[in-house]
Amino acid sequence: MAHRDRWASRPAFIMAAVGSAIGLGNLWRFPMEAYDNGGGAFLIPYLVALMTAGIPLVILEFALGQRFQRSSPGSLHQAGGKPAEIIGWWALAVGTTISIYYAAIMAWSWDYLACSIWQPWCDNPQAFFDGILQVTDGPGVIGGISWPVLAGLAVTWIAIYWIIKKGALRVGKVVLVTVPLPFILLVLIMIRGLTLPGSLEGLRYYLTPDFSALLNAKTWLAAYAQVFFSLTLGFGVLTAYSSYLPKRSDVANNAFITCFADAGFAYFAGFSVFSVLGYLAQAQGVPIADVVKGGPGLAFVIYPTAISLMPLAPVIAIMFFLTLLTLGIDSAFSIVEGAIAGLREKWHLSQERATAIFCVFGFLVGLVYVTGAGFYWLDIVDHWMNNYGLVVIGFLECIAIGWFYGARKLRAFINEVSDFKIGWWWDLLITWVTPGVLGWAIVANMIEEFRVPYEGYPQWALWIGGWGLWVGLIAIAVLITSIPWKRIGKEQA
Amino acid sequence: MPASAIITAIIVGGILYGGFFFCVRIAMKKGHEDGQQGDGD
Repeated sequence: MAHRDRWASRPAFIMAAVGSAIGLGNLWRFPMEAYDNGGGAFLIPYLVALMTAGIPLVILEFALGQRFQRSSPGSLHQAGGKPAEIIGWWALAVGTTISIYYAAIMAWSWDYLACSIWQPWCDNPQAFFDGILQVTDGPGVIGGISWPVLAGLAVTWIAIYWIIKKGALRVGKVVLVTVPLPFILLVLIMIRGLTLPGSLEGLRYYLTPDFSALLNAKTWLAAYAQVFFSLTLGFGVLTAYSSYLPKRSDVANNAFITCFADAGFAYFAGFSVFSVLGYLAQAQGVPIADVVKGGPGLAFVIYPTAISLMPLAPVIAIMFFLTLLTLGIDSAFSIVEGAIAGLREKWHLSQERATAIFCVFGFLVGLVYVTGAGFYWLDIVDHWMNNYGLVVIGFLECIAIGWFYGARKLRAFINEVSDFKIGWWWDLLITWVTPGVLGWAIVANMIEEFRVPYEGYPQWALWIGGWGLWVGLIAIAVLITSIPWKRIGKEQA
Repeated sequence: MPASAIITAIIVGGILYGGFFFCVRIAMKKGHEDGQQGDGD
């Protein structure tokens, strides 16, 4: 058997998996989903979704990597042959696409961090954001290149290359800093936020339950989507990471720890976000509903506005953008590592060489996002990759394992090695419940998609950056699957 | 701050952080037992 990279210890693996799961979405997506869907009442469907879809799917992805000791495509190939392997390559293709625009978002964070001392966004945060990105009038107007974003992009890819070129051992060391640091910084920001006037009013908006929202199907769909997106499912990352553990290591408990840590961080981030939003609303004399915004708008427009009004603003700004960078970097390099693991296995490339090729490729393709139209393309690609990439992959993984490989067979392996046993409920969830909910989400999203063009973008842009890219990635997955695995001695599929 | 918001915060926090520390404790206990028995990996 060829030498396989290994984690230095179980805690190193758990830290890496937690770092991968906790990303920018925990900070800017979860609190807004809670706010939009019944406040504190949203936490009920969120916990149900965590138990019935999040944890079972993380167990599935961990078990695949550990059972077969291979990346996502290799594991799925062994579990279900070439049709299942296509799912694995598609996951890596979608992950690659996401890592490329994720690096662009991190580039914005580098630029904001560099500006934190002087805070040039104070006068008009939206205008500053548009100016840094040199945003044009639409996806069809390419505009010029934003040099600050280009520089940030180069720094991001160099950082990713440096972290993963030595494989799991260096990743294990880096996450010892990048996982606890954003948590510590966020605690400090939250303490600052809670001592400001208006913060409790913000928390009231976040936590007060509106139980009537539980009768709305949209609330439940949002909870399942949040859990799914938050846990880095469907990228092949968790499978690649767990394949670096010895075969006899725990599966179930590691999955529970990862999921609780991810959900706990998102819940905690809500306190930090809403205490600051409460302060901002009070300082500007407007209702909280007027300042609430999710996504990049929260991190790069609303939060900087609030920070600029605080005492010790430069210090808080540096802490906040360091939080964004440390949250993003471990998710970004984990996605890249997931893809590289598959490429290395297929073509027997060295870790360093595969990383170099991937990072140069990622940087070059990412140049799209440093143009004036980059923001629009990022938004379109992000929407499609999340809603029709990751969710469909999660759905297909459940079908491949639940219906063809056999959930019971995989559960027998999980129970053989885990700290505690999981019951028949896992088979039921993987075979019926999780694919059912994900299938419902896919259909509901598609109906909405064809009813109203996403964010009012022109149809041609949605076809190129949305469905066109989506089909293109499937074609790439089929093409790579058709290439035989390069054999070394007697091992390999 | 309404009581319902405080109760929600405590229950959800309790489940998430309680669940996390409970699982970590099991892992540490198991790791300790494995260490005493000798790791076969």
